[in-house]
Amino acid sequence: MDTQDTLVRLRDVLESSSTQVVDWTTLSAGTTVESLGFDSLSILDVLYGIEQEFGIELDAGDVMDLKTVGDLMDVMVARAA
Amino acid sequence: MRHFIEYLLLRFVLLWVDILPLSAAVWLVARLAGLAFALGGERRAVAIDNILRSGIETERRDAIRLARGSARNFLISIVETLKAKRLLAGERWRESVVFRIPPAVQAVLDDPDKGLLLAGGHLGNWEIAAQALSRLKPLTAAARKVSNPWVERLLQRRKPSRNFRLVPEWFGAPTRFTDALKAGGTVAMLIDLDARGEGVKFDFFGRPAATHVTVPMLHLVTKAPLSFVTSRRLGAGRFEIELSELIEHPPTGDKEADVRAILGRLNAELETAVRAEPDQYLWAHSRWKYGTWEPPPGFVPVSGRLG
Repeated sequence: MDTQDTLVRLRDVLESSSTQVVDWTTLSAGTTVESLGFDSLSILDVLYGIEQEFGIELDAGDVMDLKTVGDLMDVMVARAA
Repeated sequence: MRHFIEYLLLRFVLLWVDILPLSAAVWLVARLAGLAFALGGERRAVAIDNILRSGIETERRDAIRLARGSARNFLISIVETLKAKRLLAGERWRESVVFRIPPAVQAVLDDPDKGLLLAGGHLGNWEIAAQALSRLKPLTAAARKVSNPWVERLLQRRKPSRNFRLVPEWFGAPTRFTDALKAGGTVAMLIDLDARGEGVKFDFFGRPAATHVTVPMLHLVTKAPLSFVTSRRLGAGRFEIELSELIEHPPTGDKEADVRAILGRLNAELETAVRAEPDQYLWAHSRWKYGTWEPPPGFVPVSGRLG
C-alpha cells in the first residue's frame, strides 16, 4: 500500500464519517483519532468506508483503542497482508 | 426524593405481583387498564393520534378502542415481564413460548460460532421475547436505562442473568455488540424507537419517522445474518415468537441506499406484524415526534450521517 495514496483515500473515508469540523487538509499519520470527532456509531461508518475503499474488513475491536491515523493504517496493512 | 418515592411505589406493586398468580395479576391489571387509559393524558392523546395517522383506524371511536386495548396490552406486558424469571425458569419456558423459526435461521441459532442480529418492534411482549430467545443462544440486548437509578437496579435484579445481557443503549459501547456477534451470540435491538432527531428519516406507516441506523450498519459491517422477530401474546403468559427469513444485504458502496434497503425490509416486517395484531402494539410512543424535524444550519447529527 502506497502510504501517501492510502492517506489521501483514508482521509476521504474519515471525513465522511466524522462529526467534528476538522481541517482535513492537515491530516497526517500523526493526527490523533480523538481529534477527528468519532463517536461509537461513526466507527461503523469508518469500517464500512474502509471496506468499500480498500477491500479490507476490520471490526470495531481493531480500531477502538487506536491513537493515531498512522496506527489505523498499520492495522489496515496488517489485515491486507 | 422523587426517585425514592417511585422506588417505594414499585416495591409495593412488586409485592402484589409476586404474591398473585400470573392469571390473577393479569386479570387485575386488565381491569385497571381502563382507568389508567382514562387518566393517560398526553400518552392517551399520542396513541389515538398515532393510530389515526397510521390509517389502522380511520374513525376516532375505533382509534380510542384500539388505544385502550394497546394500553391494556402494555400493562399486561409489564406484569408478565416482572414475573418473567419465574415464567421462564428452567424448562418451564417451553410451556409458555412457541417458536416459529425458518430452517436457515435455526441453522444460525444452532451454530455456536455464528452470530445472529435480531431486529424487533414494540409488539406483544418484546422483553419476554428477548429473554426466551436467550434460551436458544446467548443474547445481548440494547436497552434504554430507566432514569431512576433505584428503579433501574431493582428491575435489573429481576432479569435473568444466564445467557442474557442488557447493554444500555448503543452509544459508547460498539464493541459490546460486535464482540457478542463475533463470539457467536445474538444481538437484539428494537428498531421503532424515535431516533430523537438523529438517524435518518424513514417512512413508518407512510409517515416520516426519525429512525436509528444501528441495525443496518451492524449488519453491513459485521455481515452477521439478520432476522426480524415478532412477538405475539396468545394468552396470559403464553407467547408466539416468530423469526423472519434471513435478511442478508451485502454492502454495495452506496451506504445510504444500503441502509434504506435494510430498513425497508425491517419496517415492512414490522408493519405487517402490527396490522395483524394492532392492539398489541405500543401506540403511545411518540414515534413520529421528530419525523418532520428539520436540522438547524450547521447541525451535525451524532449518528446517521446519511443526508
